[in-house]
Amino acid sequence: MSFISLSDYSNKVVIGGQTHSSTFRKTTTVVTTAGVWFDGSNMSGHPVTNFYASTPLKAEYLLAREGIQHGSNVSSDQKHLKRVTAMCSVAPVNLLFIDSLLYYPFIDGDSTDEQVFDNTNSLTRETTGVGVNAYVVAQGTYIGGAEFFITYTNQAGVSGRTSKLCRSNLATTAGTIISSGASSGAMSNAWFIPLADGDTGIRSVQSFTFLSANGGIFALVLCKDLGNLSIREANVPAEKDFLIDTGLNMPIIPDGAYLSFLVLPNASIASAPIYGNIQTTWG
Amino acid sequence: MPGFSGTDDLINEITTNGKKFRSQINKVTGITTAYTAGRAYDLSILPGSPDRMGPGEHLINSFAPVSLFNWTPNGTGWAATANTFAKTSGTATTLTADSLNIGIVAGRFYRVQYTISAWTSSNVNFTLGGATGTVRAAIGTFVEVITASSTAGFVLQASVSTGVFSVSNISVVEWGSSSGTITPMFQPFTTANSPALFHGGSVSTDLKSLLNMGLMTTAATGIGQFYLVDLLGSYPYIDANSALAQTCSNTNTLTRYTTGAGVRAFMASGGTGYVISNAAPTTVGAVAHNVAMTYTNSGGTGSRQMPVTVACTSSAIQGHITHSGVAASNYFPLPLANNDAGIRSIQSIQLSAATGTAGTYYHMYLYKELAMLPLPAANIYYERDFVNMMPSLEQIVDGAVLGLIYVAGSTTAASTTFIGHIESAWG
Repeated sequence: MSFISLSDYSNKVVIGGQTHSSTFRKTTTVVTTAGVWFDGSNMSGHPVTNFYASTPLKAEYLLAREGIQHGSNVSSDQKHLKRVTAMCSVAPVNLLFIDSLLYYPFIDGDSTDEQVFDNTNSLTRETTGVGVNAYVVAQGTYIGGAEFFITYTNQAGVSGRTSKLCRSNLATTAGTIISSGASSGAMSNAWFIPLADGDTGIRSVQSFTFLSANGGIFALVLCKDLGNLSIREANVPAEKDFLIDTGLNMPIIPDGAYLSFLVLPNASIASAPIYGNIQTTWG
Repeated sequence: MPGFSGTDDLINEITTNGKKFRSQINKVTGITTAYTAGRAYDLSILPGSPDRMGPGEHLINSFAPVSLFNWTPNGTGWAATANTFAKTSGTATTLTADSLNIGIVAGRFYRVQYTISAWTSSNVNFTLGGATGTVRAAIGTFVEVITASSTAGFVLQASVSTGVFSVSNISVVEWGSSSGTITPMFQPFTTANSPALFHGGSVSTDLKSLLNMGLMTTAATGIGQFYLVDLLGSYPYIDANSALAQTCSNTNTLTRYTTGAGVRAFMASGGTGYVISNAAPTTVGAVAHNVAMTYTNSGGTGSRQMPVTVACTSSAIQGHITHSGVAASNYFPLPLANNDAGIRSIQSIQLSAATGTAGTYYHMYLYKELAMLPLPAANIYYERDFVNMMPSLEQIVDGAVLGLIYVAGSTTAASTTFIGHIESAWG
């Protein structure tokens, strides 16, 4: 089920109370780099810090209770992200809200071997992989500059797919999404790893390969992109109502979703908390 | 409201039926050259997400290979190394393209271009459509036109398994005649033959619409105007070193917006072909020149001409729309004759002077503008809601090849990043 009309929405949310609000406050001591994406789940505060700490190279889940709270399970109803607000003392800062689906931790940045992943655990949300993207986040400091690629199974179940070649940036700090930014040269630099031609998502990742030593340790994260929020002015709350502002298109939040955000700062956000709240609705 | 009977139906289709898709955009400009204020650039040539695409990749996308994916050697000795197909001594002689973006048709003509970037030993050639290319045994970029007698795909081959050489920039496009350099064939772009921004796939008999889009740049110099366009196809490899009228073949025709209504054209610099993103770009010659064309308008009337003189500007940037900018007689898009509402096909293209550098090319595109988004400041995510803001719910046709055209608001620094998204819905 979901909403079949504006009146249905009004009945369920306004009258029926099928809505939930929660807050978040995340901060980091890391000096972030302008133009380079940073993993908000890696920041401390509420919800708790995520370190992607589990068995190396084995697919693992993040728990919904440790992400931004979006309410309890609502099946067979369907939950949506209705509204987000956020502010920060540094601006502009752009947030990309995501559902983190699966991650592969402790990729060795000093190894140029093919690092083969354990896929005992598989996607439990977005199970076909349609619209699922991957990013690589530093779990500690690193040097950078190395090129890398992944092999994966695409949304159609075709294995052995090879991503575009990416190059690690030189931001060097934990929490950085290493394929983002342009400082290291334009080699498919993107916050998500560019996929092979014709692919529209990732079902699972089989391996990760650095072409030269990069230094550091990294986690590869599979996620679903939900929506953006741009904090345009320092200390001024930014708000987006997905029902009103994005063509009535409220992102879907499945039961069990680990909700967090990626951050694209214009300057260092060290010790500058990002705080705000979200509202979810279901029907 | 195309595809939706009303607001309630739109909500129902999106939320209950899940008929929507969200795609990310991340493009990075080249690392060596800045963009010029006021000029327009086709960003589809840039690396990132979606991946680069160009009119030289109609049949094969392998100008800078990073793996042997979609290619099969008949033994050992072939590898993708340093953005080339590198042949070393082994057991293999052939490297076969497992599939082509467009099937070969017997009786048609195909222009094949490839670069031997390193050569030590062995003859090198190819087979395609039952034809065999000229044998090469030296470094260089080679162009030839073959006439297909079968539907056989592309095979790169060495004469001996011990051969040592490297090949890159393989480009195969359909051509208008059995020889020559000035008879381009229109090649329609579809999602099946072009690595474009995915927008949810084919949804017929539903109709798909653009719900919203957003963009930002991380560079202060990255401000400007963006157009989201459906790239309909191109006339590739317009010889930039010829002042002759170049006759455009139209055996292939528009597959979307087939009458040509609303279809416009632009001509972009292609240099000598493709280069990997961190290599020096190539440029057409510096001799000043104008461009003229004759076309059939959306009403089916042929021999239409542009109403004004249109001047081009040489540039080392692939994707630079050569007739855009703020110089005298610069226009973007190419202006149409009075009262014309679009272009169905182009019959001829002519430069007023050869640009002076042999082996350099332009590509002429046909496209349909879908949406426009200004980017007035850096590091702020600008969004358009196409339900509540006009124009509403622009339709995305099945097979649409979505691309971005950027009109630089200032001198755009090299390695400028553009980030964004689109969301579509159908019903």
